[in-house]
Amino acid sequence: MRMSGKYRIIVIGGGPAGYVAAIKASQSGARVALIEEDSIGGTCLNRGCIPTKAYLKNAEIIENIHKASSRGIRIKDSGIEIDMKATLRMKNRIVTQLTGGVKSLLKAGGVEIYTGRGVIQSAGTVLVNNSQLLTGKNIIIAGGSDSSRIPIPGIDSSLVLTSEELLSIDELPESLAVIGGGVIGVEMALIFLAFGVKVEIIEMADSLLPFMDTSLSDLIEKKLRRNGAVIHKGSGLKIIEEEKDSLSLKLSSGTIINAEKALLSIGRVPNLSAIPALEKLNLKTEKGSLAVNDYMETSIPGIYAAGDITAKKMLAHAAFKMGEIAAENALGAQKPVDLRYVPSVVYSLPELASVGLSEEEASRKKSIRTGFFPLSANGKALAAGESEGFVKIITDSRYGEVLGVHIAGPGASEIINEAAALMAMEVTSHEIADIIHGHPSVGEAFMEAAADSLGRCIHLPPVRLR
Amino acid sequence: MAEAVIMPKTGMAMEEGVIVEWFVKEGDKVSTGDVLAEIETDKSTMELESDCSGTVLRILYEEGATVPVVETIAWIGSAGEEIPMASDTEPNSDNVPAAPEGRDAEIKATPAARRAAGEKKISLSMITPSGRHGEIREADVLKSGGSTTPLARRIAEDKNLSLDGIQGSGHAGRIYSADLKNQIEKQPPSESGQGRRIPLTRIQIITGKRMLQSHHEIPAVSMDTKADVTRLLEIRTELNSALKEKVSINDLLLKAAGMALEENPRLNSIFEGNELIVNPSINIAMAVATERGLLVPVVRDVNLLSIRQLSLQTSELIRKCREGDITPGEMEGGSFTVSNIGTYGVTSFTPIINQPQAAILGVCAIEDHLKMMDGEIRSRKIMGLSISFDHRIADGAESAVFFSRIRELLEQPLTLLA
Repeated sequence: MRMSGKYRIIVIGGGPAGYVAAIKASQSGARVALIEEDSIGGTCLNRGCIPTKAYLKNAEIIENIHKASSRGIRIKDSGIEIDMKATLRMKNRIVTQLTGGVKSLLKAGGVEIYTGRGVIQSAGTVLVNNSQLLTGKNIIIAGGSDSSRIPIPGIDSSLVLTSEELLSIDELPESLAVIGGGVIGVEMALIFLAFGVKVEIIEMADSLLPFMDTSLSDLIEKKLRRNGAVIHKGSGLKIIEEEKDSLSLKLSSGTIINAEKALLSIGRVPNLSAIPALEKLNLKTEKGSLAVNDYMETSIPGIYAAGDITAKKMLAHAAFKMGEIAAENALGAQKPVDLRYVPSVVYSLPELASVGLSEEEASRKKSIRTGFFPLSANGKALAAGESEGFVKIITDSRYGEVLGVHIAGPGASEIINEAAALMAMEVTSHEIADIIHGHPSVGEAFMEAAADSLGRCIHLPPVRLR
Repeated sequence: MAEAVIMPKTGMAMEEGVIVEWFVKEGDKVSTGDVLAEIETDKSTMELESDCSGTVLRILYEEGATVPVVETIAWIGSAGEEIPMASDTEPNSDNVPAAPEGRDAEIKATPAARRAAGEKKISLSMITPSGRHGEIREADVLKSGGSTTPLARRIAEDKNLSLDGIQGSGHAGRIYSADLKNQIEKQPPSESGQGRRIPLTRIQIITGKRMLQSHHEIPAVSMDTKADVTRLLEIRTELNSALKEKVSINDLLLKAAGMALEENPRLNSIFEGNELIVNPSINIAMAVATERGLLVPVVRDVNLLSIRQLSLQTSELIRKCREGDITPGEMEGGSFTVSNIGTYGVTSFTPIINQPQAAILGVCAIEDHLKMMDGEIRSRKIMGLSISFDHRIADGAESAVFFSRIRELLEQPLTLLA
């Protein structure tokens, strides 16, 4: 067994939490090792956010082609054909470019990359691929997450795919059953509907996107149905049977769905494979995730964790921040992580974005007001033919503190950053309503919604009395 | 072009001010914020700060001069510059700071400080004064505020929290709402371990200053008496069983005080210089204890109101005080104060006069006493009354006449309904 020199920090996992932690630490002059068993970039870059965004762009182009004639553009011979092999190449090219970029950033920062599986031996040692022992002062575990699985007969059929596997197919199935109507399920359903695949969605809860504001769930459900999806809400999956290259899925309601392939998208679980000897190490876990405090410290001094493995917020941008804070604290800082204003986005068509509390959550805590501005009254959205959507703001009725913002519409993923920034700066609806926004822009609707919450929206008729 | 320095208008009622002392002389160079003079108004003394930088070209009034508000008192400009002709010296309305309104009106601040606070949209109540007479100066405004989030500012204003001494958790000490929560909830023990420090609300700070000022400046005399209110209580019971509105003992006391003031206008006047100014109306302030501190809403023209109208007004004012809806305007213009602590069993006290009023009536507990009446021992309801009056305004005999009239009216309660 080879022993490698002493590192200031050893990072296990090269996804958003891990690579940011490594770069941050190296910027401070620390000697850093990063261990990754797959390719740098983690789920987000290789199998999650980025690949789906590449496919969603295609879905958007297809939607635009369909809409073109209503705007006076006639496309001759407009039969659309999806070349899935070319689509896959396009996606792989983007992923390769991005992960390559991150890898060169790490190298430029002097981070030493080890390829293989890292397993913690003790508070200061990590074994790579059972052959190389790294020693370091601090360890940051950023093991990420895997697709959740449920113990249902037939779930292990080769026709039931994870999102990662679905993003690697080079031939389109005729039909797809989506198990789980959360963020991943909704995005994949929209992509494959656009690609001409027949899609049925199975969701246990009473609405799609059960953790988001119901205004967003309702809007996306209508859109999916309009695009041809069949949606089964409030029904659990009982059994999956494979019959001659196709699947038969039986629901608790008795309904039977037949599909060529199925996507398992019921959520993600922390990947604890870097710490098989949890008990021996005495590392505390909480409901299957690695327990950390606000300083990203685990129960063992010197060992930190960041990203999906903590199950705090399974989002790449939350992982970036956690990785950064873990690195700073490992190097002696005392910074708590503040995840109150993390935006979450569904890259559907139209995009859905949220930050803060849903109306239901907020109303349980405080006396609230809501403001609403439909994009059908927004010039830019109307001109683009993308006026489906709205901005909804939830404020505390006493001070105008912004408790939550929910947006559906073009550019929602960008506008939500304004909302998150102003919430983090504690700017209230009174000031937001006064901020001059460029015209025409979709973002104006945010200011208008804030004004509406105060009963002084210029571009809405005074319809409601609160 | 030379800039005029004017006599500032620091309150709605201010009409003139006295230049106590000049701190600059002609030819001196001054910068914005420098103290030019000390000004005395009917209510207070404060420093006058320069609004501009330059050379003092001309001083138009000597120390001790009384000058109407917004009149030019000096000129500042470039050395050697001509000062404008008299016809040009009409005060430019743009330069005249608006008389302060709202809650900030009662806080001492220089006009420059008021303008700066207005521009920065911060309330003067959150700023620590550094002026010699306790007034807020422009520099105090400039160095405070700005580093508070809008939400924290709203909460601090709402809860009357002082932002002094709060170490903000944000970049460069910016104060966030969570930093205020710490201040409200923690109330940490002082470092020396000598006990908890409890920050006073703005109202408590202002009340304290006024009480001290009154105590220092007024030669106050206190007297006690007892009133037989047996009939008064019986009539009140009758009224309350017949009327929809509930009449309180305090309403009847306000009415009695109003009638007695009408008959004794000297006790309804304000002391100023060598004169008394008799208030044209009888507006009685009543002390209301709230969580934020002592508030004194004013019932106007008490002598013109029926008991019923009076009762409606007092219950509305008390509700507003308790719920924080009371406006500064509703607490201004009182010419006499009634303070009632009878419910706590107090039998006499020496209330402190609410300046610039002449007197304050303290209402004490009602007790069962045995009293000789027509040769028989009777059980009667006896109320304690205390009064403090300004001996500069009224002497002992005059005050006693007024005080015993209140007692008389309470003992012959039908007169209150007349």
